[in-house]
Amino acid sequence: MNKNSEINKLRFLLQRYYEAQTSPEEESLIVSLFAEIEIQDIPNDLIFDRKLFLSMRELHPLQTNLETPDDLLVKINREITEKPPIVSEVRKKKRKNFFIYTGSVAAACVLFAISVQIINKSNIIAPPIIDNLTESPSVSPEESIPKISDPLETKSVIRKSKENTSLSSPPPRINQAAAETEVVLNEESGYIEITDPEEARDILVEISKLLANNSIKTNEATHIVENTVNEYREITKSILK
Amino acid sequence: MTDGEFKRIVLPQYRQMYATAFAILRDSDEASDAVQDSISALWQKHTQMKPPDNAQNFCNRTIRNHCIDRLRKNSKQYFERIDTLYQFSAESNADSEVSLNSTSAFIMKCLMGLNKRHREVLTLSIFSQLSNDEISTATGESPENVRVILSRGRKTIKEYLKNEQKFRNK
Repeated sequence: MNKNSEINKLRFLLQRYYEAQTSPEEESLIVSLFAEIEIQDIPNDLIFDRKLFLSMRELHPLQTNLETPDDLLVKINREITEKPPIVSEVRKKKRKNFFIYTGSVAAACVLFAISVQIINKSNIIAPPIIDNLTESPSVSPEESIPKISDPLETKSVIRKSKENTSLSSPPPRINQAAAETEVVLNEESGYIEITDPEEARDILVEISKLLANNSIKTNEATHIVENTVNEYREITKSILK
Repeated sequence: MTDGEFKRIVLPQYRQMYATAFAILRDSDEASDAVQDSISALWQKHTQMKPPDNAQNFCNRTIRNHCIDRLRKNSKQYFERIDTLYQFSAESNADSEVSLNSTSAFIMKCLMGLNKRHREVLTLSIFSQLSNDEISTATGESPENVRVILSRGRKTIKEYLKNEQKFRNK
């Protein structure tokens, strides 16, 4: 039974051998199996394989009988004493510094991205303001805010002088409070007339409140950015120390 | 690894390393040079290494990789050496360094009849007992090519041997 299992193992290994799937250890096992099994127990179809493997064993020297040259150890010791080992501490330090610098730059980029996100969010929260108050550098401040000399006037018109405005700018947007009032479109100039002076006053108050809010939020965003930059500087200083 | 650990753990493996190098390179001087270079390279970096768990396996793997690198860089000398070493044996010359039985001589003749690429791959497999991956590294052939060449070469040699035996029997 034992011999049958060895023969089966041999057949399996030989099949792998001729498919070039065996390792050197498996090939050595094939040789040792052929050497152990008596020739009369080898099946006829494996006779040539036995001859082949036992002959190939001759072509490979036996390592057990090999003599090491006498002066080899002397030469090795001479090499060791002449060549000192490489000091790699400098390399390790440089690698460590590289990782520290890379990490700090990455952290700074992340903080900057976060601060930009916060600034963007603060801009989105602030509602839009009427364009003619911000986008007309050529318009003087007096002209941008309508003068209401008589609050009982039936009509008050928010108007810019055609000479000072750039007509390529889009018509002014009206916030929600103004949109609820009765408005009259002046088709020629593209501006909207607000007839009720009280409503106009309310609109102006709203506008000033919005401006104040926006400036507060801008200040907050600026503080955040400054804090971020300061933190980055402190981190960099501590790492460099 | 300290200097003392290196001399205690690695240096005593030089004999086994020489045997492995000789088995691959088939030349005493080449094997000695390979062992010296390997141990010297290990010495240079021993301060950065931990002591190996199995010194014999570690040194064996190191010398094998070094020998395969040597074969890759300078294979011409190796194959010329193998051809010279066994050519006389294949011609049944009494003065040859190695005397072979007729089957071994026949295998040598079969190898001589192959093209250069196939002969190199089969020589490394038969004489140096390298694995497929090691042969691939030493020759520059892809692992799949090495497998195909070895498979065909081995089957061819077996067929030639069968035919030669039939011819003799007749």
